[in-house]
Amino acid sequence: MAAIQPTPETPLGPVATAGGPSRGRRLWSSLSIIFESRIATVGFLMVMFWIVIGLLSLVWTPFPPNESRFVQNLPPNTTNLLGTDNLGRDTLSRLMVGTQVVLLKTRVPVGDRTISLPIGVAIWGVLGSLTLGTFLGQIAGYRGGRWDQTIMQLLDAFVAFPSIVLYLVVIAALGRGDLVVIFAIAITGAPGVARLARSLTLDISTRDYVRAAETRGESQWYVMFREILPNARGPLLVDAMLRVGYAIFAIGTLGFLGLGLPPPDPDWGSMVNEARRFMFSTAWGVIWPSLAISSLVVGLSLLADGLREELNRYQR
Amino acid sequence: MKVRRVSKKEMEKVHPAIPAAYEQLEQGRITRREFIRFATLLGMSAATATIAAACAPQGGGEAAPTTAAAVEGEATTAPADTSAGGPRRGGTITKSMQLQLLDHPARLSWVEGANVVRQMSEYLTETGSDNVTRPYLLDRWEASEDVMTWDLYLKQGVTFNNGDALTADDVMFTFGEWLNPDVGSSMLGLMSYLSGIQDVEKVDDHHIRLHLQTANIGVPEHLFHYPAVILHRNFGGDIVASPVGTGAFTLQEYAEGERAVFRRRADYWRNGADGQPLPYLDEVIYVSTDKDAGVAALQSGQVDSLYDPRPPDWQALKDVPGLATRAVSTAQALILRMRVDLEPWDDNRVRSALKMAQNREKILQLSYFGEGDLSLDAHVAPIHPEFCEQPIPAFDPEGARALMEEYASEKGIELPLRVVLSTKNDQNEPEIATALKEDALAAGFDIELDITEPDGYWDRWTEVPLGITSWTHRPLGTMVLPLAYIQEAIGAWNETRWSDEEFETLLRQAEATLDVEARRAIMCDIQTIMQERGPIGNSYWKNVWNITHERFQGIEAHPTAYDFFYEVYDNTL
Repeated sequence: MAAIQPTPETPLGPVATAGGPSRGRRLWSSLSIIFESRIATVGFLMVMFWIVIGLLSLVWTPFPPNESRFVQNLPPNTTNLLGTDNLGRDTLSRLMVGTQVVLLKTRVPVGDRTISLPIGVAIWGVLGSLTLGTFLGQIAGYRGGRWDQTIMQLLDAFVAFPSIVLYLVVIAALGRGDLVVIFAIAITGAPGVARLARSLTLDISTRDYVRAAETRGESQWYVMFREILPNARGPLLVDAMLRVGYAIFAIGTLGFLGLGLPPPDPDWGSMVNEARRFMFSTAWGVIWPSLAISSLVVGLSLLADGLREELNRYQR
Repeated sequence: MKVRRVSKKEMEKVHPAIPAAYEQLEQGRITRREFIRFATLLGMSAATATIAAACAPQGGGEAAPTTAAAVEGEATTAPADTSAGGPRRGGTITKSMQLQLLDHPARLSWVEGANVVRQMSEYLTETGSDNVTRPYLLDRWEASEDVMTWDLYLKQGVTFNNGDALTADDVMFTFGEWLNPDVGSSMLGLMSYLSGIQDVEKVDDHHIRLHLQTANIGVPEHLFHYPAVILHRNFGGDIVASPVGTGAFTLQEYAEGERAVFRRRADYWRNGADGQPLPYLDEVIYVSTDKDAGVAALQSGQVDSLYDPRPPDWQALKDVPGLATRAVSTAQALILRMRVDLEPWDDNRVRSALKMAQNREKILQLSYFGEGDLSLDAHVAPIHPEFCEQPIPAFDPEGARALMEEYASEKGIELPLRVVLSTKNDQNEPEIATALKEDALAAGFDIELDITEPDGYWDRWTEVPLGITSWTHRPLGTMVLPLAYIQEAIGAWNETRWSDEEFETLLRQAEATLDVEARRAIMCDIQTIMQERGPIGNSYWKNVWNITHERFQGIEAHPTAYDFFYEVYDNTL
C-alpha cells in the first residue's frame, strides 16, 4: 500500500492558505485535534484544572499560604478543606500556590530583588531541552558522518548518568534557584530530544521536498530548520508534553530532597517531604501534594498519548 | 520503727562543705535533689545523702519548683506497676536503633553506639534520669576543698565477664586510653584539666587519685560521658572482637546495620529486689532500622521500644494502645546563634532585636508541640543545679523594631534587613526557622532560610553568620559554656566567636565553686550577661521521650536517651 506523503503542513492540520481562516479559527482547528481523542480530552481537562487553580492562586487563596494560624496537622474539615500542615498552615492554599512554580511563574533574582517571569519552571526547562536537543539532533541527523558520531556519542555518554544524579551535580555546582532547576532539566532532557530529532531528521531528509530544496541550492541550515523541522514538530511536541510530566516529577523530587524552593514558599515536592515525617499520625499532608503531582503528570501523559494517536491517524 | 539519721559530724567527715549544704536544705534555700547532688558530688554515698535529705525538716525540705519544667522521669502515660510480687525474671526486650560501626569505646561519638556498649560495660559514675550523678563502679569519691584533687574509691567485688576482678589497674589503663592522643577519644578534650596520665595516680588496688591542673567540679559527670566505660586492662582495641566488660549482659552478636544481641550474665555483681543477681531480662536485642521503619515496627508490635523518638514519632505513638510514653526535661536545645565577628551581628542591638523577635510559646508549640520548657537567651537550663531563675523574655516585635530602626538609620540602610538563616533538616530546626521568619518580619528582619541536610550543615556549622545548631544535654550548667563561649574555644566549638572578659572570669569562678547556692549566684550574673550582650537566642529546652511497650517496668526516660536495661522487667511473665 502506497503511503500518502505528508506535506509540510499536514501534521498539525489543514493547509493554511492566503486569505483563509482567521488566526483564531486556525488556532481552534489546531486545538480541536485534542477533542477528537477522548484520552486527549481527559488529559487536557486535567491539565487545565491545574492551570486554572494556579491562575486563581495568583489572585486568591482561602488563607495566606505561609501563615501559621490553625492547629497543626488537622484532617480535612469545613474551614480547612484539605486540612492543615505541621505548622498549622492551610494545605489547600499551599497546594494552590504550589501550582505556580510548576506551571505559571519562574522567579529570577535581579540584584537584591526577585522578579517573576511568566510560565513555570517545568515548562521553561522542557523548552530548553527541546531547543538544545532539536538543534543537536538535527545537525547529527542531517549532516551525518563525524558530526553524527561525535554528537550522538557524547549525548549517549551523558545519558549513562542517572538524571537525578545530574540534577544534584548541577545544583551542587551552581546553587539553588529556579534558573538552576531550569538549566538542570534542560541539559538532562536534551539527549533524549536529540535522539528523537535525529531519527525524525534521518527519515524526513529522504523526502522529495527536502531533495527539492537541496536542488534549489538552499543552505543546510535552511533545509534543517525550514524544511525538516516543521515536519518533525508533531512528534517533538508530543514528546515535550511527556517531558513536562518528567520535569514535574523532577521538581517534586528536588523539593523532596530539600533542593526545591527555599521554605516557607510551598512547592509540591517539599510539601510531601515536610508531611512525610508526620505520615504515621496523619497521612493527609502527604496524600494531597502527591495527588496533585500525579494528576498533573497523568493529565499531561494522557494529553500526549491522545495527540500522538490523532497525529498518527492523520499521517495514515 | 527506728529511723536512721545522719549527723552533721558524719557529714563533715565526708566533706566539710556538706553540713553547710544541709543547713541550706533545712532553710529551704536548696531542694532535696540539689542537696543529694551536692553531697554525692563531695563523696557521700547516694543512700546516705538520701537519708540525710529525708531527715531535713519538712517545711524547708523541698524548695518551690524553680520553673514549670516537667518532673524528670515523670511517666506521662506510663501505667503504675500493678504486678504483685515484684519484678519478674526472663523475657526479651527488642529495641529499634541504628547500629553503627563499633571498635574502641573511648572513640564513641554517637549515643547509639554507647547504648550498645553500656549493656556490657560500665562507668565509674552514673548521672540518672533525675540529672543527679552518683557513684557506680566507684564506692565513693572525695574532692579536696580547692577541687584540685579527686580521690576515687572503687567498689570491691566487681568482676568482668571473663572472671577477672575490677581493680585500679583497669581504671589506670582506661584513663591511659582516654588521655592518649593516638586513640582519638573525646575524653581527652573533656578532661583538659589532666595534662596526661602522670596526673592520674594509683594509690592502691581500689583507690585512684586525680591531680587536676585547673579546678573543676564536673569530674563525676565527666566520668559518665558516654565514651567513658571502664575497659579491661588487656583490652585490644575492638570491643566487638573482645566484648569484655563488667556489665550485666554479654554480647552474643553484633552486625553493623543489622542487629545486636545480648544475653544476661549469671554472675553480675549487683543484686535485684529479689536478692538474685541482676538483670531481670534474659535478652536484649537491638534491631537496626531508620526512624520511620522503627515507628512502624513499634506500632505493629515487632519491636518493644524506639530509640530517641522525634516529635513526629511522639505524635504518632503517644496514643497507641499498649505503649507507655515517658517524658523528661533536658538541657538539649536548638540554639539560634549569631557570629559576632560579622555584620550585622557584631552590633548588640541587632542581636538583641532578633532575640526579642522570638515568640517562644509559638516556636515551642509549632516545632515541638509544646513539649519543652521555655528558655532564657542563655545556655543554662532549668534542669541544671545552678540554674538561676529569671523571667522569660517577652515577645516584643515593637521593641525589636525600634532597635533595628536605630541601627538602620545609623548605617543608612533600609528595613527589613535581609539575613540568611542556615540550619539543617534534622530534628525540628526547619519549624523553628520558619516560625522565626514569620515573626521576625515585623521586627525588621527579612530572613531567607538556607536549610540543608544534616551533613551539609555540620560541614559549616561554625562558619555560617546566622544559624540554628543543636546542642546536647550536659548535666551541669558549667559544662557547655567553656566549650562554646570563651576566647579559647574560638577555632573549636565557639561558633559565635563571642567572648567576654567578665563572663569568662565569672565562669572560671563557677567552675571552681562546689557550693550550689554560691554557684547559682554566679550563674545569675552569667545568665544576665548572656541575655544582655550574648550571641544566642534560645526559645526552649526540649523534652526527651522514652516510648516502650507498657508491659516493661523499670524503664526511665533519660535526658540523653541512654538505655538502662539492668533493672527492667516484663510484668506479664
